[in-house]
Amino acid sequence: MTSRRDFFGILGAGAALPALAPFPTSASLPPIRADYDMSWVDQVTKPHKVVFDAPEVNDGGAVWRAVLLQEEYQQVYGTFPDQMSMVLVIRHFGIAMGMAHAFWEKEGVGEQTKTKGRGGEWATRNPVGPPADDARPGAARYTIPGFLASGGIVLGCDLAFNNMVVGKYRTEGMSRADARELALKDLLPGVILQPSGFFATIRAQQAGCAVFFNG
Amino acid sequence: MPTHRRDFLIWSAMLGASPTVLRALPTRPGRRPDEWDMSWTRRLTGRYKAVLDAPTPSEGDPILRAMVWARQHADVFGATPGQLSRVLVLRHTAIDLAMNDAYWARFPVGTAHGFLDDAGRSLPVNPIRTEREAVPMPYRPLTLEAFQRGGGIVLACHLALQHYVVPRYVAEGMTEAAALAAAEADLLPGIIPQPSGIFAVSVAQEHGCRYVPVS
Repeated sequence: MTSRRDFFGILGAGAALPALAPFPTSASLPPIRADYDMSWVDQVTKPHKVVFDAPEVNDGGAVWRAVLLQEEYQQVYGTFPDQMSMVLVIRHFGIAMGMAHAFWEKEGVGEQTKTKGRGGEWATRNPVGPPADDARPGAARYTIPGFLASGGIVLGCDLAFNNMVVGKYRTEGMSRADARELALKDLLPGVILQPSGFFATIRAQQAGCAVFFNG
Repeated sequence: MPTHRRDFLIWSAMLGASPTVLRALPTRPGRRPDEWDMSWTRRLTGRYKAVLDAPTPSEGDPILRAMVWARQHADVFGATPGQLSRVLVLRHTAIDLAMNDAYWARFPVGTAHGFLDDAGRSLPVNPIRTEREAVPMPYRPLTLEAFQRGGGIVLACHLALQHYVVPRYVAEGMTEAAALAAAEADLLPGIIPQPSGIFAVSVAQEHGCRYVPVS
């Protein structure tokens, strides 16, 4: 929580904000290296564009809210889900949402992220990972595979991936590169790593997305 | 932002939770799509536009920041009131800031959010509704009434109203329908309910507002 003292401390910085300028378009900012897949930018073309910034797991609420937003646009404006470009950025502790169930179970991610299962115990599965066999009909919509299948884009912070995930795969004598290869195998298919989460969030806004902070 | 048990209940039900949990879920908004007042979007005509996103009460800082945003644009850029379009979205647990004094007196809202009187009792009034002698300068004039008088638009998340406000009335023995009606009646004058805070934040940005977190 920010205190009033903190707030007044940054007032001076706020006063120095420059006049607002238009963002560069997607076409005017092509990547000069192929280290990171930036092709998702070209998919952000629908009439309505939103990026969800998710630095925490928070019970997978960012995915739930993304689905809800599409429903609400349909209710209020008659907009169909395929008229919306939806981008989800999982960063910081939120990177765990991009990992396989096995990683959650092995590393105790449920307790670390205060995520509970159906019976109130610490979750041993990624709440937005592939749905369980006995999940209710329609549950897949509220998962990352379901979100991707509906046309959503999921971007993962590589800084968080390296700092919070890769190290857990490293055993004695293993190189960091080999550990990263192992970790990548547990990254959910379709999740696109970006240099950082804030890079992805800002790039999505440059592509025209409204932003929603799901802290 | 802390994870709330209720958030978990919502999505876990979607992923296959027990019927007991399902029964505990609040109903969806009891409104037709055309009953949502979207006329506020036509007032977003200023040169400088911002949507101020408040998911938590944060000691009342959302209204402080909302007011300061306008004041500094006037000070730095010479912006006139007509050149400023600002939308404050009260969502998630900040929904209580959208409620009237009767609600604050009826329920221990102050205790829940750390708004206490000198004797440590729950504050019986909405601390940011109107100017009060007890509030020291320079905070005293930073109120929702002043924000609205200056042309500010205040939107309330209807989802949060159902999830955080309505249960307080239900706990007193009201039916869900009666509780929802009572909750809506206890919203402060001029505050416009929206299907959700996410929806409001997204629509405001589609109308040119810059996203500014204020919690």
